[in-house]
Amino acid sequence: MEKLLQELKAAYGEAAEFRDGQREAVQGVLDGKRMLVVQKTGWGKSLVYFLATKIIRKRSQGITLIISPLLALMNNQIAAADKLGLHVETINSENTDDWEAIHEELKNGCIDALIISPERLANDGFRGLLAEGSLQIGLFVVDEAHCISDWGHDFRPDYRRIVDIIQTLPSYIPVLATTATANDRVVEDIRRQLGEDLTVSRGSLMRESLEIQVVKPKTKEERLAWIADHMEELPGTGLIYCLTVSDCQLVHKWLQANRIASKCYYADIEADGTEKKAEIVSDFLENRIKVLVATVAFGMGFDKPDIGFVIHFQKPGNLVAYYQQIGRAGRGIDRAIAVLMQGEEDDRINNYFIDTAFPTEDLMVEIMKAVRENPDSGLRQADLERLINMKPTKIKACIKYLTVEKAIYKEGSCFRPTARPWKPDMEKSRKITEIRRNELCQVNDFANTKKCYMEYIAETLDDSHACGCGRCANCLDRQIISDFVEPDTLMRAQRFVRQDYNVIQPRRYWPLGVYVDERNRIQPEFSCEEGRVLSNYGSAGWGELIIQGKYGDNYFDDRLVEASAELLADFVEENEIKWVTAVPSLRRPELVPGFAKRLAERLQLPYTETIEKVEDTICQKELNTSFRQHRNAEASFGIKHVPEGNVLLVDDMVDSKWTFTVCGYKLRRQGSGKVFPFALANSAGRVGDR
Amino acid sequence: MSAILLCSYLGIDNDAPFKPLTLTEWNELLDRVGQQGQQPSVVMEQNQSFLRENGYGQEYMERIKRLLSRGGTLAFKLNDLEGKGIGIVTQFDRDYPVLMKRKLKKKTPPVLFYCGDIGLAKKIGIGVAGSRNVDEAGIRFTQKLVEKAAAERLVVYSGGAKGVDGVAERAAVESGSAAVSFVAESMLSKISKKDILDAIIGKKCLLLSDVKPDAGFSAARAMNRNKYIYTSSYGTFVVASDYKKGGTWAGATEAMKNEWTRVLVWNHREYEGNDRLIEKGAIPYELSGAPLFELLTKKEEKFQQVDLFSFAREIGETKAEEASGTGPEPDAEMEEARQAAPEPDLYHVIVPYVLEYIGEGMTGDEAAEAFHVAKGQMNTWLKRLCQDSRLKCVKGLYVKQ
Repeated sequence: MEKLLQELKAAYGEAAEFRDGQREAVQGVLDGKRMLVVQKTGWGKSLVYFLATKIIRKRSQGITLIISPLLALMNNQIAAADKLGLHVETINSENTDDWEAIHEELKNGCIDALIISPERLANDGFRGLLAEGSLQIGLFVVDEAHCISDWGHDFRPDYRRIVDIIQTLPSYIPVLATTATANDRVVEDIRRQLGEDLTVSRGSLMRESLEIQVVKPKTKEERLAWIADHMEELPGTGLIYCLTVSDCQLVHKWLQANRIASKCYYADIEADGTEKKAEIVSDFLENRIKVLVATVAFGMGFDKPDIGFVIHFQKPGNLVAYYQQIGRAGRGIDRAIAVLMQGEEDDRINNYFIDTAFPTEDLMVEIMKAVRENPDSGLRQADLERLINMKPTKIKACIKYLTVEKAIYKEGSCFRPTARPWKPDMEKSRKITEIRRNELCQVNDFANTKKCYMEYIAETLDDSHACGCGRCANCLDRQIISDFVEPDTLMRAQRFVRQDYNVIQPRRYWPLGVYVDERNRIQPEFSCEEGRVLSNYGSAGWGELIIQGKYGDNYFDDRLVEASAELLADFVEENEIKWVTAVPSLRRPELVPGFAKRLAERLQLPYTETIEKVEDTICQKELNTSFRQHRNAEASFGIKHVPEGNVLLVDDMVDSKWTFTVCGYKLRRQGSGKVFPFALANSAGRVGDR
Repeated sequence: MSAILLCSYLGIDNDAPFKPLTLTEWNELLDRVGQQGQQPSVVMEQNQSFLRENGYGQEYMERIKRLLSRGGTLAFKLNDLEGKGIGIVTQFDRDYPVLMKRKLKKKTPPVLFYCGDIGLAKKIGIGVAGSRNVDEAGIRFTQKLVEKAAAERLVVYSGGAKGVDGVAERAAVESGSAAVSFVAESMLSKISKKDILDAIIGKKCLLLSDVKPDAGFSAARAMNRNKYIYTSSYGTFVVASDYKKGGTWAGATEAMKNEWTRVLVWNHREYEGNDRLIEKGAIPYELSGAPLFELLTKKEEKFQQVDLFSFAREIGETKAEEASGTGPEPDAEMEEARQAAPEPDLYHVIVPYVLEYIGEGMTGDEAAEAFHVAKGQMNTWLKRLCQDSRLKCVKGLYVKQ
């Protein structure tokens, strides 16, 4: 025991002492135990594994392998390792150039600890390195170990693999799992997976720097107005979490309209090619923006010690996620504010996430059938998208699930069947769904509690140290930041939400494997331009009028013509649009052309019918893949005479954009000017990131 | 784990400076461990005191150390294989093919890779061996033979090669039985074939091999695996053999010499090898209405020990220790039971089975069904178990005391 303290003092000076539980954790590792350490951020989990590494290395045993989703070493981790004189390296997707050198160092035995991401662990190249037998493992560390749990909130095939590896590790290699969020159920689940002999060390999860408040504003407009009114009162820089991508964009645009420096962050942010995740993150880390508006995609793997506030624009799906998200604030500062808003739409969105979290049985069976038909060549994801009528995102999620279930495995870019019987286990997903519903109820209870908010969360995490924090709005019995919203700001917000239009980005490529004019890329001279869409399908604002027009009256209200004209007036001028045409439909031959005619009149442009529906094809929305949608659209439309000049191409709904893309291509082929799409509503299933 | 670390080539390249233990070395080490009343895991201890005290040389100890240090690497390798559906079973595991181990003794491969339902390797079955180049008549005979076996719910042990092996295995799967195939080529490439994959998934086929799954074909490997087919089966049928050359001839003569099992040869004198095997004492066989199972279990001095176990069609999966590989030799208890019996008395053989499988308790009728014996016989045994204070009867339910 004394030896441990000596090592600590040697590194950190005579005054250094262990924090509660640290010494026991180190000793447990050195005794070859399997340990789970549940301690809050900042407790010093890395000290435990680095100190253990130090001693294991002195015994000239193997190196420490640390599996962590952190992209790079956190500053305090580097410091801890440095002080102990350890040589620590990381292997991640950002430092591929260094791999060769690190590989050499590993062979020569100069590296004491290696930090790798879970994804990297699954990567063939890295496994090749391990398989050479030159790498001897003395300690196996898993950071963010709650991801191991089945009850965790995402399925992470890479963590499942870690569990499998730990289960196969010879018992003489100690294992240390660490997390800052785990309730009893998660701890038990981890125990079940890592072995019954798991020793658990748990400390208080109460975060002293956080001041939690739940604010009243309910409607989207009110919440936006509150943010604009009170942004100045929030300390430093911070995060606003939204449930969906479109809400992120909405909040971001609103902040910009209010001259508040912000950026958006979500999983597919790089899709349109204008933003780079790395740049967004560095803008935030280096305080060049006040706010980062993000979905849950912004999470583990980032460490910014001076985040001053976290606002939840909508309620998260469960309190564990909430604790993790607010826990990003106030790490290295004394005071940070967490504001929870509750929107009217939250439950609907959260329930949607819960309902669609698991792939359907039909889809699983269909994918398994396809993969098992091709054990020899394997199937790429694109092959599956072509074979199966389902959205690529759904197929991707299902593939991930089946990989976790070990029904299929990935080799190179191909998926192959595992040589083992498999049948869908819907019972398990039903159980998890039920738990998630209860967790959602818990969030609602939390929002209405009169108890200390931090204590409430700590109790949810089964923290035996839970007690009143003395800092939250309930403990203080007053608002930390006022609920008040300026009427003027509210009016502005209301107008803003009404006018909020979406942009239709043109497609740049034909579906995978489809070649037009011998190219998969759509030639720019035949592609659509950036278009506009009035609203999101079914949203407050115009959404309801559109649904009524399409499915009730078979006539779009004049207010929609007026709103569209207002939205498009400048757009038409800037882009020198000379005429208007519409996408026809055999089902409702008058609906869209009628609307387009009125819109043209209002814009003082000529309306010309140029596109014919030549075949009554399947409704695009029944089709789920690009391949099918494109083929369907391709077969549907023919072009008559085409006037000169740029054209506004009008449709009621836009979803996959294949109708616009194909019509645009055909119009331009027939000699029209540039094609600018316009739709009343975006019905794409863009509910957001998981 | 010690068996995998010390004996398998997993995680070792061909040009690696150290090699796994040979079978002889491994058995020598195991004997030494056993003599001292230790478990094999004792060699995994970091300080190597066991090895030092037993006078093993520095070089040997260093080699063991290098082999053991692959623990982490091996975990990754095994995980990769598992992800593809390939498992590993060691001689200490409950699932290890039992007849093979019993008969091969020190020639037992410490580690087997498998793909499919490992339980199939414990089923009673026939072996089928024969040339890669077989004529139509041989193919027809093989198919008929296997269909007959399948009708008797016997599985087919074979070698996964072209010709007779392939015909036999396919016929086994198609006629509703199952094939256990000791492959002599890459297991990984085998399972990328759709028909084989389907059979494996349908629990109709099990692939086994004593070398790592990405290793390809070699003549030595093909020769070596013959003994696994013979020892696993209640009798192996040679369909077509060359004379004094080829794997079929070598395998059959080896099996006869070692008395591993009955060697039956198709009485088809056009094949010279067949004729000569019969001359050497193999049993001539021609298709007939007589059940194969009776033919294979007909009392005959040489194979009496094996016959004893033929009763255990379902439960004959013998008692084995914990899968950890740390228990005593799995057969120890059986051996003990056998030796304890002053005269042949089957009761002693059934005691450990009944005790292990009776679980939460069974009625006489349930036990008779579970152990596949006549009710009268079962009740006699159950009563005797009660008299011996091994079981007690509570309201008609027999439970452990």
